[in-house]
Amino acid sequence: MWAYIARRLLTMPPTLFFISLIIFGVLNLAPGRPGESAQISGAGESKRSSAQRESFRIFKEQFHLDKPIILNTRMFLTADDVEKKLVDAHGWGDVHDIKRRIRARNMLEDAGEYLVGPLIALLDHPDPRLVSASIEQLIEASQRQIKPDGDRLLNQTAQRGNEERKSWRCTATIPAPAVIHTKDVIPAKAGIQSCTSAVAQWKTWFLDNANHYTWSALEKTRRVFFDTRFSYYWRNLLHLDFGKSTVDRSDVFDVVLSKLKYSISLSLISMLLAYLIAVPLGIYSAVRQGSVGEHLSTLALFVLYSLPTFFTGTVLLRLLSEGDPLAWFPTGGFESQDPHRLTTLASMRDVMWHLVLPVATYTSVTLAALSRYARSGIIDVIRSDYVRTARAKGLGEWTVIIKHAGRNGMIPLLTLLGGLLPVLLSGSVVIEVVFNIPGMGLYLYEAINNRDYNAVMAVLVAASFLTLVGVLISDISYAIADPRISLE
Amino acid sequence: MPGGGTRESYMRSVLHSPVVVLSLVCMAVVLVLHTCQLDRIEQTVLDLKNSPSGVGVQFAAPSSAEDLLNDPENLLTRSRPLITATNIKRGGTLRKGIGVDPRGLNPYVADGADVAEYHRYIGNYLASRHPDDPDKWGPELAAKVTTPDQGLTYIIHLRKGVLWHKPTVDWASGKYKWLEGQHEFNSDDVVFAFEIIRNNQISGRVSSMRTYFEALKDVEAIDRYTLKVTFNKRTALNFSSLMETLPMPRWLYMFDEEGKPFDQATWGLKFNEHWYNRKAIGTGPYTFVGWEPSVHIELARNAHYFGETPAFDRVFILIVKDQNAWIRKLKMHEVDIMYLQPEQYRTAVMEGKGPLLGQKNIETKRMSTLSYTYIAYNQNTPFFSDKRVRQAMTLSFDRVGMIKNIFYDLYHEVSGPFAKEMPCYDQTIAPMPYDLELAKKKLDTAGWKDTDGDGIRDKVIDGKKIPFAFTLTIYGSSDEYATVANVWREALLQIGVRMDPRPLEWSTMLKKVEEREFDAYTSAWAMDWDVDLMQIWHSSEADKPQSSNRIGFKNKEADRIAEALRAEMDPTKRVALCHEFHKLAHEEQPYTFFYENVRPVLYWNDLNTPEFSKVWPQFDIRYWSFRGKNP
Repeated sequence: MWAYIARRLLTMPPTLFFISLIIFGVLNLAPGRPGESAQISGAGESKRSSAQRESFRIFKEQFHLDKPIILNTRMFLTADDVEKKLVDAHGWGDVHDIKRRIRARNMLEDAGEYLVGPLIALLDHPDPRLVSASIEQLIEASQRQIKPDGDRLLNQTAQRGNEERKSWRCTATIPAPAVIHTKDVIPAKAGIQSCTSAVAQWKTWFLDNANHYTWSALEKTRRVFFDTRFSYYWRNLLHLDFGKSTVDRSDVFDVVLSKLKYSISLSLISMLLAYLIAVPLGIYSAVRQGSVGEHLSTLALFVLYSLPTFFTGTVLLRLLSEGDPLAWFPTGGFESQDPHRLTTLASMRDVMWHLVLPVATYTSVTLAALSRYARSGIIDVIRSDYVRTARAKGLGEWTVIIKHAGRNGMIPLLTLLGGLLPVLLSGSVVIEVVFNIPGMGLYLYEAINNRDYNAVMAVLVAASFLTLVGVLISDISYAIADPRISLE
Repeated sequence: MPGGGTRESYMRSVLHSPVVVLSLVCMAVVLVLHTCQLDRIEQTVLDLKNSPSGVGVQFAAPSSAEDLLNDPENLLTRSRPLITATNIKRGGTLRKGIGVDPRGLNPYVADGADVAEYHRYIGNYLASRHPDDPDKWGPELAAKVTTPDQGLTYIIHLRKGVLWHKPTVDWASGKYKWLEGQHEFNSDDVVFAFEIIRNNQISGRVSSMRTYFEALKDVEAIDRYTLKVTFNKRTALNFSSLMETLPMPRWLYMFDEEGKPFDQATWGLKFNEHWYNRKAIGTGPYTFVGWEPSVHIELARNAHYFGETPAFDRVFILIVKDQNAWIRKLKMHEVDIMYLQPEQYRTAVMEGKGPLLGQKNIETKRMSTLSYTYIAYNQNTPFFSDKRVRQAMTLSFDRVGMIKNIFYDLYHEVSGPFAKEMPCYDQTIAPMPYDLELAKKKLDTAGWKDTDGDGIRDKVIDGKKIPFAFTLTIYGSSDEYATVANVWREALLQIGVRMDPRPLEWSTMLKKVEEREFDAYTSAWAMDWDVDLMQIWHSSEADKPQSSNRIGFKNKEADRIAEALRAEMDPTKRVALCHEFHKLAHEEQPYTFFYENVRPVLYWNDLNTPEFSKVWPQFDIRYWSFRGKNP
């Protein structure tokens, strides 16, 4: 048994790792990026400007969104690759191919320090526009991080001399990209001369700093795997740091914790209630199989089970809180407006009063399934020999059912109990929306809509972890409940 | 097991003895009594804690701005009081509903109309637009503003003796000792606001503000209450952007939670995620009490406010995410006021018989928003490069019918890129009619004819026959837009044009539109009261990636007007330029201008008829009040 548990515990971290890898991959590949949906407000969009560009770049850097998702191959960029991207970004190929321009520009912006080597090589290019563009790009790329470790933005060494480098530019204005539409038109040689001194300055600078921008084979391999979004995410996760929300910069873990209060009280009470009703009901319908009462309860349960929660919830609200005919319960929420003005007892009463309808809705769904499980569990064992023996001993019918049949018949319900652990955490989106309860389900749903990667990851990783724990618990409880099952 | 049996029966006999039962009952009774007593004590303590403290600190009386307003040099003028209702009952709690959580409460980081709205209550701008005439400005934190050189330099004299609210922190914990004491608002708080605006590390709302301050040169505190702000060039936006600056307390936002100042090189990054960003502070009529995410935001009246006393003692902004719950809460008077979506408006207002929501005390009012919805045409497609084709598109688009049948007459039809109540909107320009015959003629003259008899027009361009079939990218989560697209599709088929709606989820749509992967799309622009045409209409933005001129609109005349408008400061001349542009836009039809967004608001009539602000954000509870008993 202990060996089994140890084995299971050992396989947990790799399982969790791969689950998170999959979630992370899917999440990052989904269309839309964090910080983009923030652009609409009120009745319409507001205008965008270039001034927003730089802070968006810093924002990306802060959340490692400029890094590749799983594998980093940027140190293998050649001067040719970068030349193509520069041409694309400036629209020298086709000024109207905005899609290509945006992609190229984003790539150049994101590649940061990996561009420095290729850009230095491009300084010898015959086309002055490319030389000038390379220099402009160098100004930006050279202020980026030098080491992938540590606080990237606090990297003072990278910032040093930054202001000075900004002046190392071509002196003549190279024709604006909109004027020259094709790459083939190369302007006069005069353009090149205007860049000579800047090119020399950059080359000298690179000689001094080359060690920061050239990497050994070992370092390159390391960076392929570790200078990535996923790697940064896991490095933080190992310190139990789930990161900050890209939407409102709040600490994701704190928010998740604060949501637990709502989700757990809702689901825990509902689950408890569901079990309390479902088990006796299941036993009853197993024992009184075929009776009118059993048929009626089965029918009622199936009706409940088939009704979607949003419907049950809305009907309950309509009948019992909208004054149509009754207004016994509030129309939603978790507690009254002024919880801090209530005493402990009063606020408990207040929460209970608010939770009646959501709990009823939640329970109605789980109830039906659970009681079916309980029923079939009992039916399975009720005909077995040991039950017959118990009856033969002369024990009362209910003692037989509850003490002898019950213990084995409830094993299927135990399995379900393990699966409930993550449900406690993740809550129910529909019920939380209908009853306006600010729980975890609602939080996850909104985080997905806002592309709030860290928040989504935090909830899903925590839920996966709890699923794994839940499965383990249900396995163990199996063995405890049924001595015939041995876990070796 | 005999042993077990004996133990069981022994236990049973003990439990059944009357003494034990009696003492158990006694204990239970005592427990209940005790709990009740504790509850009462707790209630007393809570009442004490929540009662308004009568003895407060003596505050220095804030300086009055009245005398300074008589100064002819002062750019600020006296405006009418915010509350105009005569029959008002002061005090009470206002409960206003809203559908979303704010994205944090730092006004420079958190985006959205809601956050801007809350800071009207919690904070103060330097000056604010007159309620009746938004082109004029009344004093708030600035008492007097002058410009010795007509728009390059502004000298701002601040109100003296204004105190920042006490931060909303757990004072009892002892952790916030460093924040104790009174903090008077002064010029450094304004300087700090500009440091925020100019710091590129700070992202969010501030990044769109930076656009307005492109011409800003320097902000200098001359003394504790005087500032000098200089600009590089005169633009129409300088003054209004400057006046709508929200000062920020350096003594709070430059420090971490332990009171340690941030590093000068990276404070912007820390500011983005400052520990106080989920709270708010200001000098305004209401103080921030708390924000329970997805539940509510609570505000309390600032008893020491220097300006006009607002009507309500407390304000709850209730966050209700499910739209059905909005109606429910309104009906049960759990909120006092809330806006509705068109769909809800139809069921609640248009279709309902008898009183609204079955409650005779609920009334409705429409709130204009400075925004318009449009259909945009990509000018770099073979279809829409020709203005005759764009005119034909508008002619085949039954605006009036759609507004009536799909949007329940809620919106105003517009003929140009402004909202109807703005002076910029030229009321003499009538929207193009719905006229399929004229549309056909326009397409004929533009060379689009059905040569192969398949019912779809075509044209030979560069030796290739192109059928007139395009896609309309729409926001997929909206049923109304799907209906609009389908109605239009039918009309277009009648004039021999095929259109396929392409519904997309918002972020995908934004991406496609920015990458210019669209023939036509529909969206809405929110506008400022001070119109600026550069970003959407100037040709310099046409070929820029991710610019707002997504349709690639290039027109020399439009460029001239946009440049002139940005430099023009005289209101009358500005209006003339706007009208000129309106005419041009009507002729060119770069967009089919559809309607101005209007929001229906439902409220309980124990509120006086609510007045809305003419400028963004339109909701402003400072105008509102409860109805008194005697009219």
